[in-house]
Amino acid sequence: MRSKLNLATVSLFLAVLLGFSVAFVLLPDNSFSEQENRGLRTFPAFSLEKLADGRFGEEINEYFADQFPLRDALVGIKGSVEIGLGKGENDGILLGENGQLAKRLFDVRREDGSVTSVELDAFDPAHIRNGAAGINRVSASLSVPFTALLTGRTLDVAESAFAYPSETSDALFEAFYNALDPSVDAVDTLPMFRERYESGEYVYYKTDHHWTTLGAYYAYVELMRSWGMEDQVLPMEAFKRETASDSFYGTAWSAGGMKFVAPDTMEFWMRGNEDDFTVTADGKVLDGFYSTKYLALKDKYSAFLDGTHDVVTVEKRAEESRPTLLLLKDSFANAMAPFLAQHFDLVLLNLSSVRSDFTDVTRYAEEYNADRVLLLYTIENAVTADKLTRLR
Amino acid sequence: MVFSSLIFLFAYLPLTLLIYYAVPRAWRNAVLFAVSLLFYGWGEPVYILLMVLSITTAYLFGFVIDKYRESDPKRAKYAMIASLAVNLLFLLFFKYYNFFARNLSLLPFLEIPVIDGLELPIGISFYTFQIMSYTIDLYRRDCRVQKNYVAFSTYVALFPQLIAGPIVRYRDVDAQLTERRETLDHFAVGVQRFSVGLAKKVLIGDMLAAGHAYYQNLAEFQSTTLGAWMTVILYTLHLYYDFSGYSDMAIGLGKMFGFQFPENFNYPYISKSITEFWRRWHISLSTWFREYVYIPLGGNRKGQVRTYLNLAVVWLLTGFWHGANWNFVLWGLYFCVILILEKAFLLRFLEKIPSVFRHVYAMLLVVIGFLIFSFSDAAAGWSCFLAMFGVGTSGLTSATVSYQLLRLLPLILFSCIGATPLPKKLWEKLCEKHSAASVLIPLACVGILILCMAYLVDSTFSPFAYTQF
Repeated sequence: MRSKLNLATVSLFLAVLLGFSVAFVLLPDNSFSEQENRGLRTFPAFSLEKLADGRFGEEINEYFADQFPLRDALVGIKGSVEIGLGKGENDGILLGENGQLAKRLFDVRREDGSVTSVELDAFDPAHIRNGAAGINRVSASLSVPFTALLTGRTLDVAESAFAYPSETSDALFEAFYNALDPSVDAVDTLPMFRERYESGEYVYYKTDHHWTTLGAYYAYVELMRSWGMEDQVLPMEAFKRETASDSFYGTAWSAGGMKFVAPDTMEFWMRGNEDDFTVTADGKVLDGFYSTKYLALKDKYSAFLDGTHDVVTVEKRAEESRPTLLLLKDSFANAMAPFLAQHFDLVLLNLSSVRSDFTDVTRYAEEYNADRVLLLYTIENAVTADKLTRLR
Repeated sequence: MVFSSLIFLFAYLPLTLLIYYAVPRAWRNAVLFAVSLLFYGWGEPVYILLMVLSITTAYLFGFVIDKYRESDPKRAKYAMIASLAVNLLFLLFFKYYNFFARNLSLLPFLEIPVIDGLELPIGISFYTFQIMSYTIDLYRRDCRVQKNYVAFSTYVALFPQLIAGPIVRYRDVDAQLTERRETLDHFAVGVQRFSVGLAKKVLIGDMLAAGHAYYQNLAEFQSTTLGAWMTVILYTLHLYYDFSGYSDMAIGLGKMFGFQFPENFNYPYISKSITEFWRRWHISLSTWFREYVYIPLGGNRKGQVRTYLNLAVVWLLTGFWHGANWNFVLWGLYFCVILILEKAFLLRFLEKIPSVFRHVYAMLLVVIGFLIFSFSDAAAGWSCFLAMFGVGTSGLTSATVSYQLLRLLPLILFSCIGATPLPKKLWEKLCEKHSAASVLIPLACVGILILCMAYLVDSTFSPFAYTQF
């Protein structure tokens, strides 16, 4: 009995070790993970220099983890085990009611420019103040009307879905608005979004960090109101709501390893005049607001305005000149642009761009002859990036 | 390379086992030596040379010591000292040079240049001590001279214990180096032990480490009393699971290749005094210092004052061994003072009070000890210490701190129970009652392996805390 058991222990152990190593060798490498929406490490190029300083060893380790057989299934097992143990989250992604996911841990940038080595649900008040000061500067120096809209993270908006406390969310927005000059036109959409979320409206995606098209519409309405353009607001009924995808798995889903969570539905709201607009992204003319090729991929949100670009412009053809709205923005603006384009010619500058620096707002407002400037930016980026602090 | 990596588990280990068992017995040490060099060189290949140089020095001086130890003890002693000096010199230079350079340069009349890029060769503190044990054992006639270079190199470089122990004394494995027998039963016990260690490290230790890192970093933005306690408690638990998990894996791997390594941990957190704690924590290091420093200095045989002085030397060295930083020196002295007090009167007093208080007493001091140990930045450590007692905090707790605590509570409770002999006792009882329960062993081993695989694929990297010393 005993020796049989020992034989079983040893042979099972060796079978798993050898089984996976053989499978690892036999299975072809993938260069991209759809599920995680990132490039995977392929076999690293060898050099004596990399061998000597240990980098080759590190890269081989990454290669092994990225190309490991059944990687997606194993990541899913880990996520399910963590949730099963009652931890309520995995890899920094919270799991709330109705399969709502939200990122909870972020890079925290400090006032001195350094970033915490461990992701936290915290913020440096001084850094937030400096960001607000950047907005104050721009607001004071622009000769055209300026509005700031800081969008909430899922964590801030969907707080009612989580056991997770909202104290840091509240403190963050409070710190931000307290540091804003009272003369700055700031549109605080957080209370509206929290209320709508709690009453069951689908304003933020469950598996992605963005707002839904409905959420973008509500923010558009708030903006129009603050600009005194209430009478021009297009009612919901003016749009035909098309389901673009009912299998959208977003960024939080990719990071959280909770494969059992149901996908999101993504909508395009069509007014019927979409063909009248010319959308240009980094000098290339697009097929309108929506790049449907992304709907077949994992990263479906990129269907709005073709994903990440530095400069996107929207003009309405055969129309007498319309006012120009300059947006300093991140990806949240992409879902809202089709609404704003009904009233303005748009210039969207990607404030989060790694290639270009658009922090000199005054200069760009002149360059593009803007009649109005809107900062549409996520509070997450105010915590982790330093673009706001450099605005001028 | 680390045990808790996919490349170790699914490339290095199966290949090593295959080659090891495929070659004739006479070649097996050579195989182990070769793969151990690969294991060691994975991260920093240059330092292989240093290790080989250390090994060769001790190996060659071994012949001199052996030649003269009967006929001319003085000459043998010189040879021993020369051998130890070379090895210690490497350790001192690579581990402590910059520390001394920096600190001595604080003196107004001294300017010692710091060498940039001088990195600590991984495991040097461990293998240097192993090499020294050979030289000293040989001089003391506790072992025979090892004429076989490959066998001696295998002793030092053996990958299971190379980078974080247990520190195996030469005389304990002398015979095994050339005459060990690998058996299926041994191998099976090794698999079990390895699996337990892997689970301790990957499923528990790394999770505790993440919790600790979170709390320690959060303190900068949100300092609370509860948060400070969580920082030190999670660190204390993490270090045990990380380090004893490593030792379990080392011992288990040793068994797979026919070696018997000494135990390194014996449930340290059930101790009722610090004296007892140090008999249960990192046993192989304490043994080394007792054997090769404390007893040669005279131990407790030369009067009370001398005993305390000897203890002070040992603990200063023990602290310093853990790293070239003042917090480790302080940590060593901290335990030195407690141990002297316990020896002088505290132990006698402790014996009179209920054991629950003795547990609280011991664990409180252990936790504060690991606070000193974990903060290389004295100011941060001091403010964490103050925060534990409500000084300089924004309050007892915050909603965020409490949320995280509740979330981690099952893990913390589980790991507290796992640090006692209770699970093992329960398991043994179960097997006594139902002998069929033992069929779970092979399944549990594979289950752990697959679960750890899932956690490792997800995390991509999980280094061991103790390999940095």
